[in-house]
Amino acid sequence: MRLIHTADWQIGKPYGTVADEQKRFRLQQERIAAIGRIREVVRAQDAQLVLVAGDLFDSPTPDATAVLEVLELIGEMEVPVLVIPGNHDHGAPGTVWHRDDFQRHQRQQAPNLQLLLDRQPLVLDSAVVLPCPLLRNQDSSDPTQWLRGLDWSAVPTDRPRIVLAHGGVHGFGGRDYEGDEEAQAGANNLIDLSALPAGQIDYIALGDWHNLKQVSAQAWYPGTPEPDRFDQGEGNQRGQVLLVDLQRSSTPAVQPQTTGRIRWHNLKVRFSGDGDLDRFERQLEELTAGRVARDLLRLEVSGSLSLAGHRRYQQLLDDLQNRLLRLRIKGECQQAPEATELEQLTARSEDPLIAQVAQQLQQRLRRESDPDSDEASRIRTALCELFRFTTTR
Amino acid sequence: MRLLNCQLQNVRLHGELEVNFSPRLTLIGGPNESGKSTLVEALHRALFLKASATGAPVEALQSRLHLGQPVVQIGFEAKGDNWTLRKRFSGTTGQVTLQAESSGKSLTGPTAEEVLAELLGVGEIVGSKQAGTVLPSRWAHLWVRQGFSGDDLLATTTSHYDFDQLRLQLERSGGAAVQQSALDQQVQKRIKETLDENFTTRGTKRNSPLYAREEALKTAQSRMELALARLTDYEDASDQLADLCEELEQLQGQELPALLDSQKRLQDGAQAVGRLDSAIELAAKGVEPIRLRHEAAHQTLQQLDDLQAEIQKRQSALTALEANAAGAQSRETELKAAELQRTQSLATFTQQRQNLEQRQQLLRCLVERTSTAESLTRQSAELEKLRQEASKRQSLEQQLSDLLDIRRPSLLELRRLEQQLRDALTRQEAMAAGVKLLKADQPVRLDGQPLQVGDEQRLSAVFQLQVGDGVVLEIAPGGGQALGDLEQAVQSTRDQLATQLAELKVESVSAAEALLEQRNTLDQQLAALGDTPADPGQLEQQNSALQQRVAELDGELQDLAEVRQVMEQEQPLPEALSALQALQQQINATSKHTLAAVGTAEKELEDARSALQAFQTQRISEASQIEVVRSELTDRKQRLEPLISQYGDRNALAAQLTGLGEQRQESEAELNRLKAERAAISSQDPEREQQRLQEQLENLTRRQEELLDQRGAAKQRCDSISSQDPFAAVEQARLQLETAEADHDQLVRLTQAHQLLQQLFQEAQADLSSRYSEPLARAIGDYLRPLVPDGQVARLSYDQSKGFQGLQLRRGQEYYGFEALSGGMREQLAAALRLSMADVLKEAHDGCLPLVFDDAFTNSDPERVDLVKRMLGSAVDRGLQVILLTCDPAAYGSFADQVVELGSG
Repeated sequence: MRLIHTADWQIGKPYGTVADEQKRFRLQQERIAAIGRIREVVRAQDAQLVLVAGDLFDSPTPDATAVLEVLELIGEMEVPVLVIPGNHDHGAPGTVWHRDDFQRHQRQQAPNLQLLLDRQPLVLDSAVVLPCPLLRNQDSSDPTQWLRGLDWSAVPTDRPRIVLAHGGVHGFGGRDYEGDEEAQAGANNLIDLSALPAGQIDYIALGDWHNLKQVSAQAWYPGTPEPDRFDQGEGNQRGQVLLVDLQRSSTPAVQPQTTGRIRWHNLKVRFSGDGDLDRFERQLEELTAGRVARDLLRLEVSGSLSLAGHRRYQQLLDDLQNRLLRLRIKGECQQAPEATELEQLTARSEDPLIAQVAQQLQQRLRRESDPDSDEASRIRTALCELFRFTTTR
Repeated sequence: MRLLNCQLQNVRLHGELEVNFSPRLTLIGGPNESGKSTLVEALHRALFLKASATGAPVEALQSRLHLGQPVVQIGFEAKGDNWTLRKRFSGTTGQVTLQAESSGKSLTGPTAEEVLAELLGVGEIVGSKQAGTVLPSRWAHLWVRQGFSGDDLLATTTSHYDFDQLRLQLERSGGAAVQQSALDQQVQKRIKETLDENFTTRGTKRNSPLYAREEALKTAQSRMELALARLTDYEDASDQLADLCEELEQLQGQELPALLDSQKRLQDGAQAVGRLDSAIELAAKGVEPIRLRHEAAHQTLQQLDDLQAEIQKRQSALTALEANAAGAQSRETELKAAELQRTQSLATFTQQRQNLEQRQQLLRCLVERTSTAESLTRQSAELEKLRQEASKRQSLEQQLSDLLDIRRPSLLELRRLEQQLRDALTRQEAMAAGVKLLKADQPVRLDGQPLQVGDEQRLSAVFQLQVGDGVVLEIAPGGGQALGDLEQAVQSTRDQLATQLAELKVESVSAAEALLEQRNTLDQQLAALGDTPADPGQLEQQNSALQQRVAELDGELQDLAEVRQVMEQEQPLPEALSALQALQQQINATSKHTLAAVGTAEKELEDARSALQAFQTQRISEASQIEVVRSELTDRKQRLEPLISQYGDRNALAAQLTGLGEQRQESEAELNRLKAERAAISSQDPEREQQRLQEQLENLTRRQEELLDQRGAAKQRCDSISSQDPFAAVEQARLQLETAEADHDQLVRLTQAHQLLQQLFQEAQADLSSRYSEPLARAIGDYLRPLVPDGQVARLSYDQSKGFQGLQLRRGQEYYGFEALSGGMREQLAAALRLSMADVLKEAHDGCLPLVFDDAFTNSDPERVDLVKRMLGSAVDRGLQVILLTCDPAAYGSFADQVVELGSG
């Protein structure tokens, strides 16, 4: 049989860190649009089944409009779509899954959607699905635990068996987004794959890790179909679903299918002089390639520029802010008067006060042992301001 | 510029006054109303007021005493020339002439005034219009008018002390120009304006950008808190909802059915109880006989075991007793033999003892016999000796009585007399004179007897020596008279001796001595025989007693002859007493040993007898014991017999018991089970139980309703919060907070930078101003030095636009403002300031400026006058010209270089 394995749609993700409301809306909308692209893959590949391994919604309480949109798109897939709740949209009472609007609209809009809240085998014509939903917010147990005590003799042997689960696995922390200050912390409900009976299971459809990841011959994370955060470093492949061909007792054939549209970039720049600005500008050009409002950039800056250089740098950033969906800046590019700029201040014999104050500031800055200290920063700002006051009217 | 002289005509009370000024210090004295101040005023107006001026300043100069318009002429040095200025103040017709000595050229009118202004370094010479305002400020820093000496010069405007010139001169002396520029000021102003945008004196300005950002930060923080609280609310509600659902499920799925089940069972219970009760009764009945049989079997087994144990015990006792009895015969024989042996042994020892006793007796007799015999022999010898001594004594006593009775004192008297005679004779001899004829040429006669050469004679009586015929000498040896006495004494002594000898019937002294010797010898021999002769009668009596004893002992010995014979066969008996005594001792010792042996033998015999007796007693008792045990054994065996025949052997009995025990256990368990079942059905009272269950059921139902309500509420709460997406709200609030924090921090940093700039500008400015104020403060300090011994004396501040300000003087550790000082001190400080200013300014006036002090030290103590003099003296030394006007010139003594007295003429 042929199925689509996907997870972590995270519909309703607020992108609260994006200040611009329009851009925020655009990012949110793109996640919903990604469902449409999945639908296209289903149609094009003639898949019989769609598995959503948790975190379909970003929170247990998504916006009602978003819920409607999702249901509409799922309805259009026209094949069974099996969904389990993940840690973001866990299945406790009072969450979206139990809301009247969801239940009513689901019946009308997406009768092909089947929410799996019970830990018991679901026997379909083409496969047996073993769902491992997360039912509570704070649940530290392994969601696949129930499979260890399952009477396998009662499970049909003539069709492939699929475990559908959400969570990190032992030896590979799913939500270990180290260095991403926006990621949610906490990795309980770890899944112990080795505790599952070998040979009884043909495919383990996992969710939670936002990058593509093959954990074993049977176990895969598809990654999120539309990227939702900046790169996690090496081998981060986002923006796809998995096309899986299954047979009982044989290794699954898995092919990624691209669905992502928006790009998230990471860039690290250190300015050691105004000359670095040109290089910086070229790098930006390469990354965004003239696209508008389809890129996000996480820019890590350090070092310092001259006062004039810093003005140009600010100009560049302002342009970027307009062109990108989001520009996140980590660190700071200090501005510090260059020797010639400083001389413009300190050598003003005709303006003795300005010269003396500039000299004072220069001396203080030299005495400051830590160039990143608040005091040093204050002195540099004072110098820049003095320069501004002196050179502009 | 230096004043040389002046002439006043028709000025107030001065009709005609001419004064010459010293280039150094001029003292102008005069009482009040003598025109001192008029003089100063006239000079001031001549220099700084246009001749053509009208109004009050001019009118004030006019005299009521003297006719004619006021005319003032001043001779002075300036710009390297000597000048004569003459002004006639007659209103609009007033005239001025200014003549330079070098050129002799005379200037008049406005030209003269212009040149004058230039020479004095003032902008212009003041006309009537400005007379009221500007005139008083002209040279106000150099000239002190009466009554203004204690004013603070720096409290006035800069025009009062030629500020521009002063600054110029200070800059010149201080090197490069250090004036802040317009740009400096502009930048400073912009900094201030920027700060003022955000701050008032009381803090952040309302509605300023900083205020807005602070507010935004606060808003963002509270919004964040609110969002987090809302999220927590949601999570709590969600948890609560889950808990409620679980509880409800538990309640509906388990508790309620269980309760209903219990209720049903209770209703079915009544019948079951009846059934169970009869079953219990039946079972109890069944249990009873089994229990009895079981207990009986148990008892029998116990009995059997007890009997067998007893038989075993008695059997082993009997065995032991019989074994004992078997060995008893030989043991008794042994004991008897031992007794016999002991009896014999005792007899032997007794015999030995008797023998020894006889021997002891024999030896005692022998010893006594021998010793008594010895005593007898000794006594006989003694008796004999006694008899001999008695006869010897008799003979000695006879001899003694035959001898003359001469005693020792008589002999001593004899010896004394003999000695006395000998002494007298010797003395007689010693008194004799020796005569020896050594040579003679004439015949020499002694007592008529011729004396031959070599003849020697000793003469003791008076004699005559005749030499030749012519010489006769009578020589008396020993002194004449004494010789006669001596001769008489010899005769008397001789007579006495003879008498004595006759009395004693002895011939001579030596005969007497021999006689006495003989008596003494006899006495000694008598004494040697003892004082009292022993009584031989007693001795004889003793002797016969001893002899009688010997006879008795011999008799005894006769009786013991047999014993003696036996002994002598063993060994010959000694005869010596000591040997006998030794033998006796030996036998005594042996006898003592034998006696002890007899005692031991007696004791042993006694022991052997009692042992035998005890043994015999025990044997009899054991024999009876055996009988007892035997009969007991027989009895037990007889009792065991019927048991065995009734129940079979022990094993069979034990098996029977086990079987019964199991049977009993089973029946009892069954009974208990039935009872428990019965108890379970109706622990107490079925009706009450029924009631209890009903209550529980009602409680549960109520709880269920409650839970349903709560679940509904919780779900509603969840849904209501959920519809507003609290997760998104938190994220948005976080972004807002971050932005607000960043914005706020950025502005704060910018503001801090501005504050830093402002502070640095103020510091730089202060530094700049000190370049102006410092030299002046130092100069003031130099003038006032004696007042403040060490360190800085005075300080003042400088402001580019406002000039010098804030003059302060140090007293002790504190600085005091001008107004806080005493009147005298103010005068002195003001004078020092003026002198210091003049010092600086004089460079623009050919190195000299005239200072005028009109009654300027009226408040100063007499002691301070010295300070004032020193101050003025040093000013003069620095090239300044000082004109001092006072009503008390005496106070300054001969201090001045030139003294002018007013009012005298």
